Amino acid sequence: MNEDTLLQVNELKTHFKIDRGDVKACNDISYAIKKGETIGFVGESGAGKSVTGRSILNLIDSPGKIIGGEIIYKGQDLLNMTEKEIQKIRGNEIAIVFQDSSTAFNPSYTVGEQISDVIQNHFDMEYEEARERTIKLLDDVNIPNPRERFETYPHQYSGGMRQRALIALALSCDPDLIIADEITTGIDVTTQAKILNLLKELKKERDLSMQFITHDMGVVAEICDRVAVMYAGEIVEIGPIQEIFNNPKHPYTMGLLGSLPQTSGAKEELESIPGNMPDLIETPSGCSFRDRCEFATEECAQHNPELEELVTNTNSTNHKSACIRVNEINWNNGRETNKDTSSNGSRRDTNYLNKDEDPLVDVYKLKKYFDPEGQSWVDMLLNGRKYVHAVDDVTLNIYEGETVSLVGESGCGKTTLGRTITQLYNEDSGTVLFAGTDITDAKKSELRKLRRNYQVIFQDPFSSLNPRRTVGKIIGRPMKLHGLVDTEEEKRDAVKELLVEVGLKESHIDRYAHEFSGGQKQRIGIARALAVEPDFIVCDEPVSALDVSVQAKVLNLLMDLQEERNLTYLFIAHNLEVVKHISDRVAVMYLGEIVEMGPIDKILSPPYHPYTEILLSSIPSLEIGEQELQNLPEGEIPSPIDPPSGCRFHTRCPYAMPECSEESPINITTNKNHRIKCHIFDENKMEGKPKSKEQIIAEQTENVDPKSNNQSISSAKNTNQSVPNPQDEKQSVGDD
Amino acid sequence: MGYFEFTIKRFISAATTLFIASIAIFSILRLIPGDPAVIILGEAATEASIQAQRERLGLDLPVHHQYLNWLSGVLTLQMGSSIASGTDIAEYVLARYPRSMALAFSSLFVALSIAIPAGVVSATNRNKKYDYITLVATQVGISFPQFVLGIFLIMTFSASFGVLPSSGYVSPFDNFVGFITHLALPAITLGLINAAVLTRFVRSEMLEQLNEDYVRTAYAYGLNSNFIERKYVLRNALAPALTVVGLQFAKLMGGLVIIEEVFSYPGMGVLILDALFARDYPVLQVGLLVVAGTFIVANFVIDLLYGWLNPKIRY
Repeated sequence: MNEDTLLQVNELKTHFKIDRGDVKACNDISYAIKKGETIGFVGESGAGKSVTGRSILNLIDSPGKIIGGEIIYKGQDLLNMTEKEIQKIRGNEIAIVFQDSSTAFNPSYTVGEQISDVIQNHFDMEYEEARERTIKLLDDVNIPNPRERFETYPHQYSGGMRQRALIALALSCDPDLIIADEITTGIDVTTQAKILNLLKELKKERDLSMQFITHDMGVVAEICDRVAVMYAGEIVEIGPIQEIFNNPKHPYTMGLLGSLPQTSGAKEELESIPGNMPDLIETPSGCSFRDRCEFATEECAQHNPELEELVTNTNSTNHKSACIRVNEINWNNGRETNKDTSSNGSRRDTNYLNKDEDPLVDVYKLKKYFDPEGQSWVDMLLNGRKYVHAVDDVTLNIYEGETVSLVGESGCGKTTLGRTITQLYNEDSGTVLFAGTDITDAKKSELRKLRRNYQVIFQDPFSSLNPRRTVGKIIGRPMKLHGLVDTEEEKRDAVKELLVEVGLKESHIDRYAHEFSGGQKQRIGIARALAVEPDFIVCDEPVSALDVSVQAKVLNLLMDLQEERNLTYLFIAHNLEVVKHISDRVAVMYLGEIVEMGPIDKILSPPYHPYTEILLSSIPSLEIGEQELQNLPEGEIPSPIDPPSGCRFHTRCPYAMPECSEESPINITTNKNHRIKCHIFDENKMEGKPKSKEQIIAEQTENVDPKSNNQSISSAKNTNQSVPNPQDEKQSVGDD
Repeated sequence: MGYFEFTIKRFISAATTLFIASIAIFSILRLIPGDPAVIILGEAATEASIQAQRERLGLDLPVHHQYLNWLSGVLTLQMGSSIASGTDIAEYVLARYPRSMALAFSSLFVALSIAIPAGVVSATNRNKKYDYITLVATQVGISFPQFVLGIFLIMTFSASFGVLPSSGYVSPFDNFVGFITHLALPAITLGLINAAVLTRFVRSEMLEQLNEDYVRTAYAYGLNSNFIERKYVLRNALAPALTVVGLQFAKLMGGLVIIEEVFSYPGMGVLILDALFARDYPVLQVGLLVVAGTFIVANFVIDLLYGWLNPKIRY
């Protein structure tokens, strides 16, 4: 251990004692963190990354226990300390930031007071001094009006601000090491971008070391210097980030990188890792990955490989891998993270849009408002009735056989839109035509029959399956209800067929939902949707709750099924990489409105709606290197109860003009059925403005992420071609 | 929103509830089968006296007039006279209401002084000896009938030991010690039973709060358990416990009737009880209104307290 090392973990063992046995969450974990270094811990759920982080500060509650190893920090073994001694370290020298900012703070005290409490606990300070220090911290994390924010409560902060306040809490006592436990999971991509920028800044200013736990490889690429890949409670590969990403030397790492949508061509089958993470109680003998490894041999079952350093000709790379076949496997068959994924060869040609076909689903001016929570009759009396404008005048078409994706950040209304289209909610106004029939007007009995044609796959596989029913009943009942099968026999046969089709086994028919893993439950959800042989399926974030390798498998399944059964999908998602992979057309939503819609290659290239531009540039790429995430929207997302006047995005738009706050823009349609709801593309509005429309589009071209659009840079001179020709017809109605 | 707006909203809510309650109570007399005048005077009364009585009761006026007369009377303390004793009802109320309130509040005080510490200690020593004792004791307390406990306490403390009086009331202005001793047994009876319920509730709320993420954050930042329990957790646990106190208040008011009877404590409870047996409807109406009003006001105060403890409600 040299002078540079801040934290040295040796053979950490943390086990959880449950009925069935000991869960070996950390099984001989060893690693080191240098001063100023950021190490990423990646792996799928259940790998043991969070437990490792929490073990450092001995925050493991029963039934968990750290049963072995040492954690050396500044010469002392943290595991040997008394409770009092380690309390002095917690928050003061090593701080941990948790994932869920909405529950991490005490709801009954102001944010400022909670941070001051910690400061006063560690330092001998008067309240006033602690208060000033807290206010300065809130300012350092870019929280506006820090003095006022000191006195406000956690629930009054927006999600992104709260996460930043948590970071302020972590910094409050000037720690040397920050452990970030999945802090970017579950937040929007633009908020995530802001937080990553903030952390990068703070790292530099304060010379912080970080242990960054996440399952998102893109985030790791943005912020980490080194990466440790965890699997089944062990570190299987560890090394500098360039090495891990460009030169992975463990089959699991390769598999992880391969499952990412951005590493495959559009609509191509994603690589996936067969099988599931093993039970941490009865870990298989030998290498824990061998059951899922394509390179496994007899030897792999013999003993559990240690992390061995890879030595190249030149010098030590500090890159270690726990694979006994590391020198034998031909790694170049593996991943190319810089694969050219812009090839549109495999993408659907969207010429079908120009045919005179009627769309399968025709949504016209759909509106859905909700009553805000906690609005009592007294509120309505005093302030007038307010509504949450969840879906506001949405018009869109979906044609047979295509996949239309609906993207937007949390709260934009996409889930509500999906549910209103399938009449799970009653719309407040507007119509939805399904194959020519107006389902918004249908009588209840008619609607029941019509429902057979369109189904929904829900986001949360855990809560969307009835826990009291067997799989067979869950899938079979809709079949029975719609008269697709007559006898019990027939039904069981049909269900079994379906189970096999979605990748499960016939024997699963009599099991209950809780006996399956997340990915398997989602397959059951898919089977249920398919049971009545629908034409149209609304997929409401079906892969958001799944690990990356499972996500790959489920996406492959969905794509296969679409081909075989000529299905039409409305795919709701917030993960743009997934969207890029599977969509034919995309609709971008913001605060209840569709701001841009068109074929995917049109969406990914300028001209962009300003919001689309921001979304695309916020996606962390797998390219290593300091990339400033630019063009982030200013401020916070406005409340849907009181949307901004005129164009709803104008409060955060870098190109906002005065008329943006006065008038709502009309949809401008370019040829090829690409429409943008923005004043910039209205000839009349841009006349004589300091920035001409051409200038703005050129700017958009420059700032674009080279990975997401390889065409744009080389075709900068072709910009004029993608700008609508003033002579072109400009339709002012949004119908496609 | 702010605390002020929150208070105004709660006030409007409470006032409306009270208004509706008053209408309901007023209707009782009108809904009883038979002519109220006949009920009061008896079957044998003459036609003339019935008619006179009806006029006196204002029964010939339209209903809403009657209601307004009654309501305005109550608010200005011109409540009419008791049919049974002829005493001015207002006199009764002014004398007895404070006595009942003294009993109610002292029993609440007893209940909370037992429940909060017991609940907290129980929760923080979960599944240990102390916890089990508390669980058993509270189980017994919840199942124990109030009047049995009352009689039992009388037998012990009054009859056997002779330390505390078994009945009656002494005004605090006459003899403060006497006031306390006469209050003691009834208050303890009511208080103990309520304490049993409240202790359980405080305990379960504390346990739930201790599992919350913010507790984990506090530990992760080096704060010690005493501090966390006392400052952070208790405040979150008390807020829901407070709503239970509000609901228990209704039970408390019901309990007043029984306990005042057992201890011959001259409060509103026995007034209502006697009026019920004597068919003394004017007294009954006023009594019920007073009780309902107290309950609504108590919950209003608790709502305000809850708003103070839980910032999510008021912002």
